[in-house]
Amino acid sequence: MVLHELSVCVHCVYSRGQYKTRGRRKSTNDQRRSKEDARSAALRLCLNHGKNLYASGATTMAQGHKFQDLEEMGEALLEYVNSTQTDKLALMKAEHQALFDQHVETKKIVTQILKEEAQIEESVGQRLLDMEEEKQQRDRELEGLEQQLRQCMAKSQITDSELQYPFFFFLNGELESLRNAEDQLETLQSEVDEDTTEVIPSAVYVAQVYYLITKIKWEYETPPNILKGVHYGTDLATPINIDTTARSRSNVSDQLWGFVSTEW
Amino acid sequence: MCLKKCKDDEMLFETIQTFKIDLEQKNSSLKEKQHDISEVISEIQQKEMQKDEIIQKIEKLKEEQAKRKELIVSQNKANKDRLRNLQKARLVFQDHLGMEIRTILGKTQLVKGEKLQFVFRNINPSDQESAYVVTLGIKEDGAYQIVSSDPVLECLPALESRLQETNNLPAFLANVRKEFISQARS
Repeated sequence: MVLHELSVCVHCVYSRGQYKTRGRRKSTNDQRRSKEDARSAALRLCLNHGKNLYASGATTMAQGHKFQDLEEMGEALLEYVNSTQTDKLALMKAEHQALFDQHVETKKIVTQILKEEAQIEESVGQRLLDMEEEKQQRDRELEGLEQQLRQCMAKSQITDSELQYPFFFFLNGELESLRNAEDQLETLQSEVDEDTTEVIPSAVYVAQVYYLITKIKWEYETPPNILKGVHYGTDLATPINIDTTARSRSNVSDQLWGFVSTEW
Repeated sequence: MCLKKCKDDEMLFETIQTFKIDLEQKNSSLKEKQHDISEVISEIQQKEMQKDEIIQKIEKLKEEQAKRKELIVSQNKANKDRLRNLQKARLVFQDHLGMEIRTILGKTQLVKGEKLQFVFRNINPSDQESAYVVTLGIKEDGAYQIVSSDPVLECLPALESRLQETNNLPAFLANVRKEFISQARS
């Protein structure tokens, strides 16, 4: 923008110069001097204006060397203007314009770069946020898993002690009931054994002796006072049917002994 | 200013890298933990299986015990039933025949060499309960031997020799009873 203003100035100066040149044929020496004064004054104004512009321009971009060129160019401009080499002035103006165009182009590119950079920054910033959220989520997951692990290990330990003392933990009372049942069984078994090996054989023996002696077999399902049975004699089987209430004990005994012969 | 921006952006990327590394670490941590958890879970499962095994063993023991109990109980029942009947017969003989048989020595089946005692009741009509006893021994060869009698019978030796001749225990006992009666009721 500074360059543009400066080039406008130069153009003014140049055009004024031309005008002044055209008017020179008619003017006198005095007129020429005053016109030159006016020209210089205009130039000086231009220069001052240019200087001001430069001062403000120096603070904006990092293209310092271009502004320095401008300054140098401005000084040369004065020289050329004073020597009325207008051709070189035109050339200068063209170069200025070219520099200015280049500057504009560079500025465009830089602006584009900065814009893209801003976009990248934005996306990167977003990415950072996403990552941070992901990180937090992972942290939560990790904590959850750690808690789960703790619970599992606790359960494992509990199960260990359960296994170490099963009858204390999950088989309460089983041991006792098993033992009690076993004791009962032992007692019963020994009773069965005693009966089987001693009591019954003895009773059988006695029964055998009774049969040997009397040859009588009794019937069991009889009313209480009825004696019912059979005597198995050598040739004859005799039924027995006695009502013991009607007879005395020795009477019944005598009758039964009647079946046993006294004959040798 | 561009430089400053560049530095800021560099820091940004550095932060991103740090985060990336951190996330990777966290992910591998998570995997590790997951793995640990599944290990512990399978341990627990194993132990639960052991528990189940123990419970099953106990159940089996209980079943076996119940079976044995059933067997023993039924044996006992059979024994007691048989004994009841034997006892009934014995009592009938004892009460109505009026003769009790006693084995003197040993509780088991009479072994040759042991003694038998025959206790007669209902002999004396006026005292049915009074006992008339004759004691025998059986020698190894099965021969009878009179030990004693109470009350004493004079004819006992004669009866003994007849018994030893004939081995006819019923007749012997019938005759002994006859003698007791004649003594008691005369």
